[in-house]
Amino acid sequence: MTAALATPARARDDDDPRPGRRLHPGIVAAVLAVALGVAGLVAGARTPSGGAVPTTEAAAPAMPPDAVTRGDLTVSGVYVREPASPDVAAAYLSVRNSGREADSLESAYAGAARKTTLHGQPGVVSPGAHAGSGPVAVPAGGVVTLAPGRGHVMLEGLTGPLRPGDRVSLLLRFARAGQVLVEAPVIAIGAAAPDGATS
Amino acid sequence: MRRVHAALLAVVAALTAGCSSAAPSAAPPVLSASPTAAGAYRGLQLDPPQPRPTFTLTDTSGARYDFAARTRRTPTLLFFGFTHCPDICPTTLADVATALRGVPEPLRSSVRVVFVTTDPARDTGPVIAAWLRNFDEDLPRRFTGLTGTVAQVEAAQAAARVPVATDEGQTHSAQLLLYGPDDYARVSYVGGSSPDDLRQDLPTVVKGA
Repeated sequence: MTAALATPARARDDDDPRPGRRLHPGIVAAVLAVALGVAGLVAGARTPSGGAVPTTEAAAPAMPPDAVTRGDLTVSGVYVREPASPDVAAAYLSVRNSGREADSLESAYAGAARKTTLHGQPGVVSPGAHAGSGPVAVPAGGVVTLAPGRGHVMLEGLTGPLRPGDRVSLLLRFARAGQVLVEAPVIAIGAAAPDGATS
Repeated sequence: MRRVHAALLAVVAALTAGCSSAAPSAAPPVLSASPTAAGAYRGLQLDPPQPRPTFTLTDTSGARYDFAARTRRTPTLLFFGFTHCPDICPTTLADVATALRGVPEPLRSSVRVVFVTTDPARDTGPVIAAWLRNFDEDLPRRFTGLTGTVAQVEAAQAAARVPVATDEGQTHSAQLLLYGPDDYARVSYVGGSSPDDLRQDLPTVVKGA
């Protein structure tokens, strides 16, 4: 279990005698929370990138324009749909695990909401096990996609309106890979999911 | 290929969707898992077809709304959900609106869209009305929003043959049912369907395929 942001957890870290090399997890979390809080409130004017990125049908998956890689995991296709309800929204994303070890999305944090929870994919095997809140498994060598009706990151108690063109910072915490910070563009209520995302 | 995938997903997703951890135990609706490439519809074919349900609820103005009488012989889309839902509910209604924008008149104006809340405690008439305006603002015919007592909305779900919502309405059916002029639903849509599927099926349903 590590809260380190920039480097994966390594046993070697304990061999390093230099003080201050590792940030206290609590401090990291506090700083991040502040940074995210600010980022979540800022209404960005940037438009989502990737409009001109060619899509290929090649067997090897093309790297989506917004992909963020950390260790074996690549997070992409992140977006938030403009909410129809004043205080609740959903973020969607894909996680590809190119490693040999299963990982798990344990929690998420968004500065744009007072409460952020994971609602996993409907169980593909057991229908009774779906729509549960809790960790989302990312199997070794697999891809997990949170898409409408198939899981989402729920943002409750929005700190302000989310409008198309805004961007929401999302901090994802994985059991093995650690924390991954992604930025989700807000798309219009009736818009199609952006390039690289699964609708 | 995409349809096979969608159909399989649909069988799973059709049961329920929502935001709660409650495990639904309702019996699944009878759905055909076969791809509809050779069939009449792009959505999920319902076999056997389901008759237009009969139930009476309250519309967003507070007036009685007899669903069967008011929508009789009219192409009608029926969906159960709740406004505090961030996921499948707004996505479904946005998809409906997108599909309707893509069909020509007079078909577009002829289709009724009826949303029934599964969370009547929070979804009052004004709350539902404000929420629906997010989707239907530019459409010639506004969507109808219905509420009632918990018993009434549960009866409506049973009448429509969808699993009755649990967990204060938050785990609910994800099925969008499309009734044709013959008062039967032969096709429905769930996660994995696209607005394009509905847009292409609407003329077929209205013709009475």
